[in-house]
Amino acid sequence: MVLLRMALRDLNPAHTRTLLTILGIAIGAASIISLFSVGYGMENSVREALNNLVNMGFILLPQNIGGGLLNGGSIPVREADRIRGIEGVDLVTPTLIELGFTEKTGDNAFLVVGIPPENAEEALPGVRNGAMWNPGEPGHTCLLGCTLAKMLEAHPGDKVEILARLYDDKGLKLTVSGVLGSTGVFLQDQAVYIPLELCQRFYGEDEMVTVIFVKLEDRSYTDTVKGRLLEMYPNYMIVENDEVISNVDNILSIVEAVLVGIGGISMVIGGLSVMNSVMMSVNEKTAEIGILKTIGYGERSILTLFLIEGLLYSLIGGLTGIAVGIVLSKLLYKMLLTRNFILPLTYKPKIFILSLTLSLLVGVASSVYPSLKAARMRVLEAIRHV
Amino acid sequence: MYRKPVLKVRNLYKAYKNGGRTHLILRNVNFEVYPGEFVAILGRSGSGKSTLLNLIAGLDRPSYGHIYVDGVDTVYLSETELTRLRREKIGFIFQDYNLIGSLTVLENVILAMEAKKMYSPSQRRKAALEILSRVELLHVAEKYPSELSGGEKQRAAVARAIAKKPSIILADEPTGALDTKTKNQVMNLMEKLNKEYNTTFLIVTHDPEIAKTSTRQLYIKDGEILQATTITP
Repeated sequence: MVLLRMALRDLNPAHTRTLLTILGIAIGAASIISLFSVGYGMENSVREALNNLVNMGFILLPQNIGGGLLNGGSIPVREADRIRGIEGVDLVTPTLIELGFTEKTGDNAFLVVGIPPENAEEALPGVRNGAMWNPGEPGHTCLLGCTLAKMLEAHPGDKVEILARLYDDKGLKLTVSGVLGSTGVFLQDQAVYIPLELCQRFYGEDEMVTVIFVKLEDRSYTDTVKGRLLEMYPNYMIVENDEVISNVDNILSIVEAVLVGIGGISMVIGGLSVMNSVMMSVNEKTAEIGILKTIGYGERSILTLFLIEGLLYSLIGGLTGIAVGIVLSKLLYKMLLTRNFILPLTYKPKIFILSLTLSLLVGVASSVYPSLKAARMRVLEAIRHV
Repeated sequence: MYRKPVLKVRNLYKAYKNGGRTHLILRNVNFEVYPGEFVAILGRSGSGKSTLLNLIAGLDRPSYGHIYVDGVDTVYLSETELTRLRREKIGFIFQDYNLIGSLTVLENVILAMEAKKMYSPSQRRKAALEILSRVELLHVAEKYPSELSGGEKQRAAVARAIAKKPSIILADEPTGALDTKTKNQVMNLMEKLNKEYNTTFLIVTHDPEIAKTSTRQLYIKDGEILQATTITP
């Protein structure tokens, strides 16, 4: 097709206009890829973290948590045994949450989380380096969240000393048994996990915990277990995990809508640049349009010629944008990693499809007006531009 | 024996309005062109000859009258039908060559065949090369118009016009931009195509020398055809 070749040759990469137009679309596509890979990454890790932590069940919290969760233990640990007796309950994880410091991290506090060693496998994310506690003999060992491990520059087998208060002389000496994989949740990644009893002793919270996570055998027990918990603990707050997840879902939908908005605005700008380029091309090729019409090319052929031009701009721009988007998101990941923040990235195929489809749609839609203008040009007026 | 004309112009008028005044460019033009003829329309600048050619090609609409191309009255055709008429039946040669600059000479010729959907793509290339050989441009087939001389450009334009085997070729001052030597070359080429391949030509020109190549001459003055002369070769 000579007409197609004509459209292809007109996209001379040496022309600044061609490059700028492709760049316009590429920025739109790249922003969609980078925003969504980060957005979906965060969404996945939040979901995973929530599922890990509160999989199908409830969280028992003290009624008055005005000071947040860091008020130490206010629920007797024996309540965990009572909850275990409820029919339909699978796993009960009494957890003590405290603040800790090290000499190395200075006033950068982190969470010290005490959990029963036998629950660690199920309640925590997988170990990335080293090993989980040996449930029978956890001793003075700990598991480090990945961000904290990086801050402490600690590896499995290393010794760390945790201070209960910033200027304490003496702390709790622990051996790192493993470093956990990323959850994507800052508080969980910047935490140290130690056996519950050890934590209670160190912080002087004997027999007390901060929260109790309750996991069900399956969802059919939700109502009965909730009813029993409400009966047993009228003065406690019982949060249903589904509520938490659904609230998080709502927040994530808003985040997604904002990302679509930002990506959409970038695309509109890209579209305007395609429209401008195709319009300029129509003006420059007025004589050629006249020649083609004289030879016998109809409105549909002329329309197609310029739509192809717009399509090519958006196809090249879209593909470039996808590549640039991947590189940008990876750079962002590396940049934040140096600041001890792990930014999870997820490249779902639908992001690539969305990005390329949007690029093509925007490119073609933006070319319609100038292409129609070219197609409807009066042949005698066009030929006079020679 | 009755010969059916390729082109028949009847009672043709064209008027333009300019600054509230009406200017009559063509008045009561009548003539025919028969298959295989080489007709020259001679006239001074502003006499209305280019307007006449534009009306015949369907690039402009007459104010009154009829133009029949292969028996079809083009006055009643829609824009789409006029495009089809140009595609199927009319070849064009312009003073300024009007080649597509981003296509090679060969592609410019193929472009015309592609518009008419003649042959398969590989056959098109073969046929286009044959035509370029006929106009002695085979050596520049892969060159772009900007790399050609004026005479070569016009011969390429002639090749493009004959490529789709039209019923008639309309040429608007085809040698207007050429020097004497190349002008003669181009005219000899058109004469050769007319004699050897029976291609019908209608040329408008102000140059009486050019008109000598034609088999018949029509003179136009102030929008009226004055006389017709037939040259017997």
